[in-house]
Amino acid sequence: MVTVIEKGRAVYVIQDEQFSDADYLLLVKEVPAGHNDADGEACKWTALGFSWEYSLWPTIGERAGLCEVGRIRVNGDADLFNRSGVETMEGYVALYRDAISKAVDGKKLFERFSVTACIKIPGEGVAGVKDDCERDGLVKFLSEHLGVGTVPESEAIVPIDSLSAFKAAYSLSLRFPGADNRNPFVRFELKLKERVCEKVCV
Amino acid sequence: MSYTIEYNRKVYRVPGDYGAVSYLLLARRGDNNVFGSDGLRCKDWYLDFFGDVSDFWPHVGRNAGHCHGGGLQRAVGWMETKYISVEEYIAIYRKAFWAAKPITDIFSDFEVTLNVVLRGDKEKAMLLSDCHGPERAAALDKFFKEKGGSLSLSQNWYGNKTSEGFVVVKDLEGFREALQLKGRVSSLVEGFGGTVRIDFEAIGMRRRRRW
Repeated sequence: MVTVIEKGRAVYVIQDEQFSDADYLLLVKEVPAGHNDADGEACKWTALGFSWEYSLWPTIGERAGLCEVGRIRVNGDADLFNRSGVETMEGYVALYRDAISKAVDGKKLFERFSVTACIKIPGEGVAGVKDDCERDGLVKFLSEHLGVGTVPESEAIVPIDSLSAFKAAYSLSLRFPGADNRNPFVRFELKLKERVCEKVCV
Repeated sequence: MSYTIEYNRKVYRVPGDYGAVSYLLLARRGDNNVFGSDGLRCKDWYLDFFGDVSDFWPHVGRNAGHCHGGGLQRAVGWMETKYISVEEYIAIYRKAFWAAKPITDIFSDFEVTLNVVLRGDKEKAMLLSDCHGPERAAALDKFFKEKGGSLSLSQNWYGNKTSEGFVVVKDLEGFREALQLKGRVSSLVEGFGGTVRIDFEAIGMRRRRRW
């Protein structure tokens, strides 16, 4: 059964001067099956991975497997009976090889997308985070981007406008995926800016 | 860099209820840095996957992804390894999937055993009756008694007393039961440093290096 329809993908490459290996940011545009609104609320850009290239491939491979068994449809119409688009693992892998080879400079990310991090802190607030290291990371991020001492009680929406902030927010989103309502969670929202003339998807 | 070497793989079809088919994947793997006393790399057959076909390919895809950075490579000859691409790995598994054998063949290819090790301390070995979850412990005990196995007292390298036992599984029903028991009991036992695992020893497939 098709659960997700993949509408497009974009890869950004971020070269840090300190390290020889570049980081790759992999974004996909997805819509849950059954939603016909191609660019409506249901259709979202999500970050699949932000790491060295070879670390992205297990995720790509797993999604290729999901494509093979029909749980991801690629570039397909929302109509489930329209049998068009990539349907094999090899096709899916080729699609991502192409996308990675055409990776765009990471500085252009903020020209095309408005990125916000939504941070929710339920219950006892930041003090409720038991792990010292995780709590310090969260407090540091919030104080850097919202001002020192203004750690919110319940919810904060932080606009991300630099690659370093993006990196910090991404690692926080991995640490706080928000599986339950007791712990804080950090979630990304990537929205395509209006009047983007150039082609974003590969 | 340390990496995993995949030597061989076998896929078995397991018939389920209402015509459903599950797949069992055994992979022979080893680490590039671990050598045995014979000078060859250690390798063993592992139960890599058991489940529906809709989960089989995502699992293979994730493994294939590790090939891209060289974390998973192919064995060539006795000592060499070869980098393979994601596409090549998928092609190997397509071939293995279509050559899947019925599960009953597993008993002619492998000696299948359910191994249980319960770890105690210096004074006393842990027994099944000491486990939390008496129902699950009783199910394991019943399985051992039915198959003619028993847990015997032993001692590990660190001087801790253990109770260990294994049962040879010879039929499909026993294999299903062993898989279920592994799933149910492993959390019970592993919390105390013990293990429950299903081992596969290949019959008639062992090759020795001629020096």
